[in-house]
Amino acid sequence: MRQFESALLMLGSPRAHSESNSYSLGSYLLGQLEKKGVKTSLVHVNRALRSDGAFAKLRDSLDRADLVVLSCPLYVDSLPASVIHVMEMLAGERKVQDVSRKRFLAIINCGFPESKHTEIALAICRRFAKEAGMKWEGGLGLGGGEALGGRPLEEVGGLARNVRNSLRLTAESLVKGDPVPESAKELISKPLIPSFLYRWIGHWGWKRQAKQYGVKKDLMARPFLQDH
Amino acid sequence: MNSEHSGMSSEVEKVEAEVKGVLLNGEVYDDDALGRVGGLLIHELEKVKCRLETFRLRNKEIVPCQGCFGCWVRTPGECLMEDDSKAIVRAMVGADLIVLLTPVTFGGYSSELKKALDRSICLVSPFFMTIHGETHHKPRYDWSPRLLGIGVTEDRDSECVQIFTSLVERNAINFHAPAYSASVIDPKSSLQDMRSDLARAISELEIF
Repeated sequence: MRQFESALLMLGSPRAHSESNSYSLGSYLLGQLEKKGVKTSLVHVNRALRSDGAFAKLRDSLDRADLVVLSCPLYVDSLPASVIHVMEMLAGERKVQDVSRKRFLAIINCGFPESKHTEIALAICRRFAKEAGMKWEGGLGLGGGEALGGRPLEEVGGLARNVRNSLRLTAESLVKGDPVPESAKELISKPLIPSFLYRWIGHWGWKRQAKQYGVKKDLMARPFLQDH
Repeated sequence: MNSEHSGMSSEVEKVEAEVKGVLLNGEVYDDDALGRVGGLLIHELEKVKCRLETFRLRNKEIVPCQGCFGCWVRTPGECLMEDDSKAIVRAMVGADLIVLLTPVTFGGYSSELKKALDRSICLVSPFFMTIHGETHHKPRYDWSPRLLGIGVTEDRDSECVQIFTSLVERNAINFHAPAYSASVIDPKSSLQDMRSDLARAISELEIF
């Protein structure tokens, strides 16, 4: 028997969909849930903070959803400031809104190849769920997210096989009313590519981008050094 | 000392300069409890002759990081966006100590503190290095301030202390701080307890 009817993706990345790995991950999970008859919708955290009306729309979307999925990048070992801001506002309303039957899970992707970097951000999400009175269903942490290139996971091929399988297992578990399974956490935590290769590609990529902007020789510039 | 940044004390100017500190105050709203702890914190730092520059972040115009990496590959070392974060980053460069003062928010930092930290990644290089078997970014400057994180909450429990101290530790690794210290203060505690917790956290930095 299906345990819920609607799911909301709270996208915590400021990037456009075509460049957002958070969108790649979140939309794939929503696609898996849709296949099982769950209605899905999407809100952008950054846009919700532009006005009171925009935040009210996010709040309305959240009220209608049985499951809330936060998908966002790791910023400085934690969640992006905009995501924390929205969480502060939502948790502050917990006394006037009944969210106690709402389910919450988080997908955090980071630019370092090791998924371990996402652990604190996921713990913060778990704590938010607790303080907002939502049911914590678990968290998925992905390392080396930049390797996805913001592409839909279906187009990434073998590189994202473990990620797709993890999100498929997660969807299957959620529709049964169960939390994110341990097997899904383990699958998504596996490196997309070996660390040494990720770093090599990363270094090449930074130099290539800097060359496009004519600053390849200035990548290690220290613009504030002369002030001291 | 840029006293116009200070939201809590102007007396810091009187202190003889020995250690340069930058205090990032992550207060989200008028918060007597955080203000009280902040006052004690400044007093304890004054006692060890720390010259503080304080930024009350909620009064600063800081646009959220857009995740564009422009501060690495377009204008290396500087964010593309012009707002108050530039003055904060400038102050952090050359400081001996960075102090993070924040209401504990789901175990971590407030959005006000985080918006400033998110915009400070220009302080590190895009290139990677290995620390304790993990990938991190190389430092950009030959500069290494210590890091002191002070969280304030009336709901202090083992989980929130664990999250907060781990977060400060991870920040210290990523910003290449030679030492760090973290403490979660319950503002309902006695003044004596709060003072001694703060003094202990400061002494653990081994800078004074």
